Amino acid sequence: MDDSLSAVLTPDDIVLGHHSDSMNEAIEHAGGLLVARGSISDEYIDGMKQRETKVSTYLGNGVALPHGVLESKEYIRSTGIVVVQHPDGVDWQAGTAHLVVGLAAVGDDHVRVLSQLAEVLQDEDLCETLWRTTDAQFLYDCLTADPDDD
Amino acid sequence: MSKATNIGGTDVTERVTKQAGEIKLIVYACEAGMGSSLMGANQLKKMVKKAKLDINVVHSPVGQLTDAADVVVVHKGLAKQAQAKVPGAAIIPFTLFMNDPAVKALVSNLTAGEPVVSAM
Repeated sequence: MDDSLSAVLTPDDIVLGHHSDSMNEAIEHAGGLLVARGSISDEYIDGMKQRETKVSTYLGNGVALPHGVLESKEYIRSTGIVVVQHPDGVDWQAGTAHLVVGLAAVGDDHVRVLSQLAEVLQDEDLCETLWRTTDAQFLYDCLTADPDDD
Repeated sequence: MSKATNIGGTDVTERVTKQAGEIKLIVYACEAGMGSSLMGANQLKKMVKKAKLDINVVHSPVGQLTDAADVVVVHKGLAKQAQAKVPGAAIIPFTLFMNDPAVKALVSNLTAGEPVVSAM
């Protein structure tokens, strides 16, 4: 469990204090991080942009979860998650995103992190704390806690 | 049975209605079945479990829905596609991935043993 978890999200996959002028710029940035960690090839980023034109991935409470459309799954090499904090916020159509969680997933390795993200999302105050925290480890711990452990 | 009224050009007498007792599978559908639907399905699973309902909840890409689905919970932007794919299922569209009122209403309905009527 912990092995698969650390393969999916590591503290290095968390970027604090980033600024993007637009949603597409934020997607290119998050997508670039997924490319750099070897999770996807460049084509997947187009799939991420395309997805937003179909259904926004804005989840609420300042969190967006950009990921590719179904057809772009072939460009995923391994599951990866990157979390980019935007203290200034980015206009994400359906809302303003402060945490941009870029996702490329094959299989179910990412289920635990997304379950925990769902838990975090229920807590508006915690979300707002995470928009501004300067402690990457705290953000990492919040997203990797065992969701059933409370 | 509902009376024939016309909402947005659709004859609502044709709406699929599922009795609470016959609902065994709810499918939470999204575009790729990778991220947002998984989160929504997890939340719905918890609500169903908390309400002690004997209903299975899974997530799926909208294009891979099958007739096994009794109820399909789907983002409103994909609702038509879902309905075309599984015309026999009750379609419940939502707008918010988390805490959507339509999803809460669905669980209340089921808990009360009330039938679920397709929203389209």
